[in-house]
Amino acid sequence: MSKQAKLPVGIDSKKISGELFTLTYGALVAELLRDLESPAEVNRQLDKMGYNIGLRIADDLMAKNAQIGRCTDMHQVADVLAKVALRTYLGRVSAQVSGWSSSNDEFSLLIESNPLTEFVEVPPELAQELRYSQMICGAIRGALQMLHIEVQTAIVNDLNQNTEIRVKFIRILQESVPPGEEY
Amino acid sequence: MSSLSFATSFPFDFLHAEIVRYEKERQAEQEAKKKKWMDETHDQHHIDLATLAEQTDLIKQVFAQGNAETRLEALGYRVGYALVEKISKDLPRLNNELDKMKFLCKEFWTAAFGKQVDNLRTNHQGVYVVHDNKFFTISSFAEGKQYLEESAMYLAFPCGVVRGALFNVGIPSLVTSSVESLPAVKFHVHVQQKP
Repeated sequence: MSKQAKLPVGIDSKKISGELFTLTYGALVAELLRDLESPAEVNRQLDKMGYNIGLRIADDLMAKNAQIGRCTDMHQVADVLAKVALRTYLGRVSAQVSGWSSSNDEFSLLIESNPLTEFVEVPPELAQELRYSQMICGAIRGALQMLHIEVQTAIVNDLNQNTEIRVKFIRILQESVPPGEEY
Repeated sequence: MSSLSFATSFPFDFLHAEIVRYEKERQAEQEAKKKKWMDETHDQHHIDLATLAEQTDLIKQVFAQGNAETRLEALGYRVGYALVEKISKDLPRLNNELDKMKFLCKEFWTAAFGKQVDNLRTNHQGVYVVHDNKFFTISSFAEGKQYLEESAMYLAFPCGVVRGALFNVGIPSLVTSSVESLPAVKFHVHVQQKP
Protein backbone atom coordinates (compact mmCIF):
# COMPACT_ATOMS: atom_id res chain seq x y z
CA MET A 1 0.00 0.00 0.00
CA SER A 2 1.53 3.30 -1.08
CA LYS A 3 -0.37 5.45 1.38
CA GLN A 4 1.03 3.58 4.35
CA ALA A 5 2.41 6.33 6.54
CA LYS A 6 5.23 5.61 8.91
CA LEU A 7 4.25 5.60 12.53
CA PRO A 8 5.89 8.32 14.56
CA VAL A 9 8.68 7.30 16.84
CA GLY A 10 7.62 5.97 20.20
CA ILE A 11 4.58 4.20 18.90
CA ASP A 12 4.82 0.49 18.84
CA SER A 13 1.54 -0.95 17.68
CA LYS A 14 2.16 -4.34 19.29
CA LYS A 15 2.80 -2.78 22.63
CA ILE A 16 -0.16 -0.50 22.56
CA SER A 17 -2.62 -3.15 21.54
CA GLY A 18 -1.57 -4.65 24.84
CA GLU A 19 -2.50 -1.40 26.50
CA LEU A 20 -5.93 -1.60 24.92
CA PHE A 21 -6.24 -5.05 26.46
CA THR A 22 -5.04 -3.95 29.88
CA LEU A 23 -7.27 -0.90 29.97
CA THR A 24 -10.28 -2.86 28.81
CA TYR A 25 -9.69 -5.45 31.49
CA GLY A 26 -9.42 -2.71 34.09
CA ALA A 27 -12.65 -1.10 32.92
CA LEU A 28 -14.34 -4.48 33.11
CA VAL A 29 -13.22 -5.10 36.69
CA ALA A 30 -14.39 -1.64 37.71
CA GLU A 31 -17.75 -2.29 36.09
CA LEU A 32 -18.13 -5.64 37.81
CA LEU A 33 -17.32 -4.06 41.15
CA ARG A 34 -20.15 -1.61 40.56
CA ASP A 35 -22.59 -4.28 39.40
CA LEU A 36 -22.06 -7.05 41.88
CA GLU A 37 -22.48 -7.00 45.60
CA SER A 38 -19.17 -8.28 46.85
CA PRO A 39 -15.58 -8.66 45.68
CA ALA A 40 -16.03 -12.42 46.04
CA GLU A 41 -18.80 -12.28 43.44
CA VAL A 42 -16.50 -10.31 41.16
CA ASN A 43 -13.81 -12.97 41.55
CA ARG A 44 -16.32 -15.63 40.62
CA GLN A 45 -17.49 -13.75 37.55
CA LEU A 46 -13.91 -13.07 36.40
CA ASP A 47 -13.09 -16.73 36.88
CA LYS A 48 -16.09 -17.75 34.82
CA MET A 49 -15.18 -15.39 32.00
CA GLY A 50 -11.60 -16.59 32.12
CA TYR A 51 -12.77 -20.19 31.93
CA ASN A 52 -14.80 -19.45 28.80
CA ILE A 53 -11.80 -17.72 27.27
CA GLY A 54 -9.56 -20.65 28.20
CA LEU A 55 -11.83 -23.11 26.44
CA ARG A 56 -11.32 -21.19 23.22
CA ILE A 57 -7.72 -20.20 23.72
CA ALA A 58 -6.59 -23.82 23.93
CA ASP A 59 -7.59 -24.27 20.30
CA ASP A 60 -5.82 -21.12 19.26
CA LEU A 61 -2.62 -22.05 21.08
CA MET A 62 -2.46 -25.53 19.62
CA ALA A 63 -3.11 -24.22 16.13
CA LYS A 64 -0.31 -21.67 16.33
CA ASN A 65 2.25 -23.84 18.06
CA ALA A 66 2.49 -27.12 16.24
CA GLN A 67 5.66 -28.08 18.12
CA ILE A 68 3.75 -28.69 21.35
CA GLY A 69 3.27 -32.38 21.73
CA ARG A 70 1.27 -34.42 24.15
CA CYS A 71 2.25 -33.76 27.75
CA THR A 72 2.81 -36.85 29.84
CA ASP A 73 3.39 -35.29 33.23
CA MET A 74 2.71 -32.08 35.08
CA HIS A 75 6.29 -30.86 34.66
CA GLN A 76 5.74 -30.66 30.93
CA VAL A 77 2.38 -28.96 31.39
CA ALA A 78 3.99 -26.39 33.65
CA ASP A 79 6.73 -25.80 31.10
CA VAL A 80 4.31 -25.19 28.25
CA LEU A 81 2.22 -22.88 30.40
CA ALA A 82 5.14 -20.80 31.54
CA LYS A 83 7.23 -20.75 28.37
CA VAL A 84 4.65 -20.73 25.60
CA ALA A 85 1.12 -19.98 26.71
CA LEU A 86 1.68 -17.04 29.03
CA ARG A 87 4.25 -15.55 26.71
CA THR A 88 1.96 -15.80 23.70
CA TYR A 89 -1.03 -14.20 25.34
CA LEU A 90 0.32 -11.84 27.94
CA GLY A 91 3.23 -10.34 26.07
CA ARG A 92 6.82 -10.59 27.12
CA VAL A 93 6.25 -11.68 30.65
CA SER A 94 8.61 -14.08 32.24
CA ALA A 95 6.94 -16.78 34.18
CA GLN A 96 8.70 -19.17 36.47
CA VAL A 97 7.65 -22.51 37.78
CA SER A 98 8.45 -23.25 41.39
CA GLY A 99 7.16 -24.72 44.58
CA TRP A 100 6.60 -28.29 43.41
CA SER A 101 4.79 -30.43 45.91
CA SER A 102 6.44 -33.70 46.92
CA SER A 103 3.95 -35.73 44.89
CA ASN A 104 4.65 -33.61 41.79
CA ASP A 105 1.04 -32.68 41.25
CA GLU A 106 1.07 -29.09 42.40
CA PHE A 107 3.16 -26.11 41.39
CA SER A 108 3.27 -22.34 41.42
CA LEU A 109 3.49 -20.08 38.41
CA LEU A 110 5.26 -16.85 39.20
CA ILE A 111 4.41 -14.15 36.69
CA GLU A 112 6.76 -11.22 36.84
CA SER A 113 5.38 -7.80 35.97
CA ASN A 114 1.91 -9.02 35.19
CA PRO A 115 0.61 -6.83 32.35
CA LEU A 116 -2.96 -6.90 33.66
CA THR A 117 -1.96 -4.98 36.76
CA GLU A 118 0.26 -2.52 34.92
CA PHE A 119 -1.79 0.64 35.52
CA VAL A 120 -3.69 -0.57 38.51
CA GLU A 121 -3.99 0.58 42.03
CA VAL A 122 -6.51 -1.39 44.01
CA PRO A 123 -7.96 0.53 46.95
CA PRO A 124 -6.78 -0.96 50.24
CA GLU A 125 -10.28 -1.86 51.42
CA LEU A 126 -10.65 -4.17 48.41
CA ALA A 127 -7.14 -5.57 48.34
CA GLN A 128 -7.96 -8.28 50.87
CA GLU A 129 -10.75 -9.92 48.94
CA LEU A 130 -10.46 -8.93 45.31
CA ARG A 131 -8.34 -11.22 43.15
CA TYR A 132 -7.59 -8.80 40.38
CA SER A 133 -6.02 -11.26 37.96
CA GLN A 134 -8.47 -14.05 38.64
CA MET A 135 -9.23 -14.24 34.94
CA ILE A 136 -5.82 -15.79 34.26
CA CYS A 137 -6.68 -18.57 36.71
CA GLY A 138 -9.95 -19.26 34.96
CA ALA A 139 -8.24 -19.26 31.58
CA ILE A 140 -5.61 -21.80 32.68
CA ARG A 141 -8.29 -24.06 34.11
CA GLY A 142 -10.43 -23.77 30.99
CA ALA A 143 -7.58 -24.36 28.58
CA LEU A 144 -6.31 -27.43 30.44
CA GLN A 145 -9.83 -28.80 30.65
CA MET A 146 -9.98 -28.68 26.85
CA LEU A 147 -6.87 -30.86 26.89
CA HIS A 148 -8.49 -33.33 29.28
CA ILE A 149 -6.57 -32.24 32.33
CA GLU A 150 -8.60 -31.16 35.31
CA VAL A 151 -6.81 -28.73 37.60
CA GLN A 152 -7.54 -26.41 40.45
CA THR A 153 -6.13 -22.92 40.16
CA ALA A 154 -5.94 -20.19 42.72
CA ILE A 155 -4.20 -16.87 43.08
CA VAL A 156 -1.89 -16.89 46.05
CA ASN A 157 -0.40 -13.50 45.61
CA ASP A 158 -1.50 -10.59 43.49
CA LEU A 159 -0.90 -6.94 42.86
CA ASN A 160 2.61 -6.46 44.11
CA GLN A 161 4.61 -6.77 40.90
CA ASN A 162 4.60 -10.54 40.85
CA THR A 163 1.53 -12.66 40.57
CA GLU A 164 1.66 -16.15 41.96
CA ILE A 165 -0.79 -18.74 40.75
CA ARG A 166 -1.05 -22.15 42.34
CA VAL A 167 -2.02 -24.97 39.99
CA LYS A 168 -3.06 -28.35 41.37
CA PHE A 169 -3.61 -31.42 39.25
CA ILE A 170 -6.86 -33.26 39.97
CA ARG A 171 -7.34 -35.93 37.36
CA ILE A 172 -7.23 -36.83 33.70
CA LEU A 173 -10.64 -36.52 32.10
CA GLN A 174 -11.54 -39.63 30.17
CA GLU A 175 -12.54 -39.41 26.58
CA SER A 176 -16.28 -39.81 26.66
CA VAL A 177 -19.11 -39.82 24.19
CA PRO A 178 -22.05 -37.58 25.05
CA PRO A 179 -24.92 -39.60 26.57
CA GLY A 180 -27.25 -41.11 24.01
CA GLU A 181 -24.66 -41.21 21.27
CA GLU A 182 -22.95 -44.52 21.99
CA TYR A 183 -22.15 -46.76 19.10
CA MET B 1 9.34 -18.94 12.22
CA SER B 2 5.76 -17.86 12.43
CA SER B 3 5.43 -18.22 16.17
CA LEU B 4 7.95 -15.40 16.52
CA SER B 5 6.01 -12.90 14.47
CA PHE B 6 3.02 -13.90 16.51
CA ALA B 7 5.05 -13.21 19.63
CA THR B 8 2.32 -11.27 21.32
CA SER B 9 -1.26 -11.37 20.29
CA PHE B 10 -3.21 -10.22 23.24
CA PRO B 11 -6.44 -12.16 23.38
CA PHE B 12 -8.41 -8.97 23.13
CA ASP B 13 -11.11 -10.46 20.96
CA PHE B 14 -11.71 -13.26 23.45
CA LEU B 15 -11.98 -10.76 26.26
CA HIS B 16 -14.25 -8.55 24.23
CA ALA B 17 -16.52 -11.45 23.35
CA GLU B 18 -16.81 -12.34 27.04
CA ILE B 19 -17.63 -8.76 27.97
CA VAL B 20 -20.34 -8.67 25.32
CA ARG B 21 -21.73 -11.94 26.60
CA TYR B 22 -21.72 -10.67 30.18
CA GLU B 23 -23.57 -7.48 29.23
CA LYS B 24 -26.14 -9.45 27.27
CA GLU B 25 -26.78 -11.75 30.22
CA ARG B 26 -27.02 -8.81 32.53
CA GLN B 27 -29.52 -7.08 30.29
CA ALA B 28 -31.69 -10.18 30.18
CA GLU B 29 -31.50 -10.38 33.97
CA GLN B 30 -32.46 -6.74 34.39
CA GLU B 31 -35.39 -7.14 32.04
CA ALA B 32 -36.63 -10.14 33.98
CA LYS B 33 -36.38 -8.15 37.21
CA LYS B 34 -38.20 -5.23 35.66
CA LYS B 35 -40.98 -7.47 34.41
CA LYS B 36 -41.32 -9.05 37.83
CA TRP B 37 -41.54 -5.66 39.46
CA MET B 38 -44.16 -4.48 36.96
CA ASP B 39 -46.23 -7.59 37.51
CA GLU B 40 -46.06 -7.26 41.25
CA THR B 41 -47.15 -3.63 41.33
CA HIS B 42 -49.85 -4.40 38.83
CA ASP B 43 -51.33 -6.89 41.23
CA GLN B 44 -51.56 -4.39 44.03
CA HIS B 45 -54.78 -2.61 43.13
CA HIS B 46 -54.83 -0.31 46.08
CA ILE B 47 -52.07 1.94 44.71
CA ASP B 48 -53.69 4.85 42.97
CA LEU B 49 -52.90 5.56 39.35
CA ALA B 50 -50.87 8.72 39.81
CA THR B 51 -48.32 7.10 42.12
CA LEU B 52 -48.15 4.10 39.84
CA ALA B 53 -47.38 6.25 36.79
CA GLU B 54 -44.75 8.12 38.76
CA GLN B 55 -43.12 4.96 39.94
CA THR B 56 -43.21 3.44 36.48
CA ASP B 57 -41.34 6.43 35.10
CA LEU B 58 -38.82 6.20 37.87
CA ILE B 59 -38.24 2.53 37.33
CA LYS B 60 -37.86 3.07 33.60
CA GLN B 61 -35.13 5.59 34.31
CA VAL B 62 -33.40 3.23 36.68
CA PHE B 63 -33.40 0.44 34.16
CA ALA B 64 -32.61 2.60 31.14
CA GLN B 65 -28.89 2.57 31.85
CA GLY B 66 -29.02 -1.21 32.03
CA ASN B 67 -29.16 -1.49 28.25
CA ALA B 68 -26.25 -3.64 27.14
CA GLU B 69 -25.17 -1.45 24.24
CA THR B 70 -25.17 1.71 26.33
CA ARG B 71 -23.08 0.03 28.96
CA LEU B 72 -20.60 -1.34 26.44
CA GLU B 73 -20.31 2.12 24.95
CA ALA B 74 -19.64 3.65 28.36
CA LEU B 75 -17.00 1.00 29.02
CA GLY B 76 -15.34 1.84 25.72
CA TYR B 77 -15.43 5.55 26.51
CA ARG B 78 -13.33 5.01 29.61
CA VAL B 79 -10.84 2.95 27.69
CA GLY B 80 -10.57 5.37 24.77
CA TYR B 81 -10.16 8.30 27.14
CA ALA B 82 -7.16 6.73 28.83
CA LEU B 83 -5.68 5.16 25.71
CA VAL B 84 -5.47 8.36 23.69
CA GLU B 85 -3.25 9.93 26.34
CA LYS B 86 -0.78 7.10 26.02
CA ILE B 87 -0.73 7.33 22.25
CA SER B 88 -0.54 11.07 21.80
CA LYS B 89 1.94 11.93 24.52
CA ASP B 90 4.97 12.24 22.20
CA LEU B 91 3.20 13.86 19.28
CA PRO B 92 3.38 17.50 18.25
CA ARG B 93 0.42 19.67 19.09
CA LEU B 94 -2.73 19.09 17.08
CA ASN B 95 -4.01 22.45 15.99
CA ASN B 96 -7.42 22.07 14.46
CA GLU B 97 -10.29 19.69 14.23
CA LEU B 98 -9.16 18.18 10.94
CA ASP B 99 -5.69 17.51 12.34
CA LYS B 100 -7.24 15.76 15.27
CA MET B 101 -9.43 13.64 13.03
CA LYS B 102 -6.40 12.71 10.94
CA PHE B 103 -4.56 11.76 14.10
CA LEU B 104 -7.51 9.59 15.09
CA CYS B 105 -7.58 7.83 11.74
CA LYS B 106 -3.85 7.21 11.50
CA GLU B 107 -2.02 6.89 14.78
CA PHE B 108 -4.88 6.13 17.07
CA TRP B 109 -6.60 3.65 14.81
CA THR B 110 -3.36 1.81 14.13
CA ALA B 111 -2.42 1.65 17.76
CA ALA B 112 -5.82 0.64 19.05
CA PHE B 113 -7.36 -1.32 16.22
CA GLY B 114 -4.29 -2.60 14.37
CA LYS B 115 -4.67 -0.83 11.02
CA GLN B 116 -5.37 2.54 9.47
CA VAL B 117 -8.85 3.50 8.38
CA ASP B 118 -9.59 3.08 4.72
CA ASN B 119 -11.43 6.30 4.09
CA LEU B 120 -12.33 9.48 5.94
CA ARG B 121 -15.02 11.79 4.66
CA THR B 122 -16.44 15.00 6.00
CA ASN B 123 -19.03 17.60 5.06
CA HIS B 124 -16.91 20.29 6.78
CA GLN B 125 -19.80 20.97 9.11
CA GLY B 126 -18.93 18.66 11.90
CA VAL B 127 -19.94 15.34 10.42
CA TYR B 128 -17.22 12.82 9.68
CA VAL B 129 -17.64 9.35 8.27
CA VAL B 130 -14.85 6.90 8.91
CA HIS B 131 -14.77 3.84 6.70
CA ASP B 132 -13.00 0.71 7.83
CA ASN B 133 -13.29 -2.12 5.34
CA LYS B 134 -12.25 -4.82 7.76
CA PHE B 135 -12.91 -3.86 11.32
CA PHE B 136 -11.19 -6.01 13.88
CA THR B 137 -13.91 -6.83 16.40
CA ILE B 138 -16.11 -8.30 13.70
CA SER B 139 -13.41 -9.59 11.36
CA SER B 140 -14.04 -13.15 12.48
CA PHE B 141 -17.72 -13.04 11.53
CA ALA B 142 -18.85 -14.53 8.25
CA GLU B 143 -18.73 -11.99 5.47
CA GLY B 144 -21.97 -10.75 4.03
CA LYS B 145 -25.25 -10.07 5.76
CA GLN B 146 -25.80 -13.20 7.81
CA TYR B 147 -24.74 -11.81 11.19
CA LEU B 148 -25.65 -8.19 10.60
CA GLU B 149 -27.94 -8.05 13.61
CA GLU B 150 -25.51 -9.56 16.08
CA SER B 151 -22.66 -7.39 14.88
CA ALA B 152 -24.24 -4.22 16.29
CA MET B 153 -23.47 -5.39 19.82
CA TYR B 154 -19.82 -5.90 18.88
CA LEU B 155 -19.47 -2.32 17.64
CA ALA B 156 -20.80 -0.53 20.72
CA PHE B 157 -17.50 -0.86 22.56
CA PRO B 158 -15.32 0.53 19.73
CA CYS B 159 -17.77 3.42 19.26
CA GLY B 160 -17.20 4.30 22.88
CA VAL B 161 -13.44 4.04 22.44
CA VAL B 162 -13.57 6.50 19.54
CA ARG B 163 -15.83 8.88 21.45
CA GLY B 164 -13.61 8.78 24.53
CA ALA B 165 -10.49 9.39 22.46
CA LEU B 166 -12.04 12.34 20.64
CA PHE B 167 -13.32 13.82 23.85
CA ASN B 168 -9.88 13.76 25.37
CA VAL B 169 -8.31 15.58 22.40
CA GLY B 170 -10.97 18.23 22.74
CA ILE B 171 -13.76 17.14 20.42
CA PRO B 172 -17.00 16.29 22.20
CA SER B 173 -18.95 14.16 19.79
CA LEU B 174 -21.52 11.50 19.16
CA VAL B 175 -20.29 8.33 17.53
CA THR B 176 -22.52 5.77 15.89
CA SER B 177 -21.73 2.89 13.59
CA SER B 178 -23.48 1.39 10.64
CA VAL B 179 -22.82 -1.80 8.76
CA GLU B 180 -24.15 -2.69 5.35
CA SER B 181 -22.16 -5.78 4.72
CA LEU B 182 -19.68 -7.40 7.08
CA PRO B 183 -16.83 -6.78 7.79
CA ALA B 184 -16.92 -3.20 6.48
CA VAL B 185 -18.01 -0.65 9.05
CA LYS B 186 -18.80 3.04 8.82
CA PHE B 187 -18.39 5.13 11.94
CA HIS B 188 -20.33 8.38 11.93
CA VAL B 189 -18.87 11.09 14.08
CA HIS B 190 -21.12 14.06 14.81
CA VAL B 191 -19.11 16.78 16.44
CA GLN B 192 -21.08 18.64 19.02
CA GLN B 193 -21.01 22.35 18.31
CA LYS B 194 -19.96 24.62 21.08
CA PRO B 195 -22.92 26.61 22.35
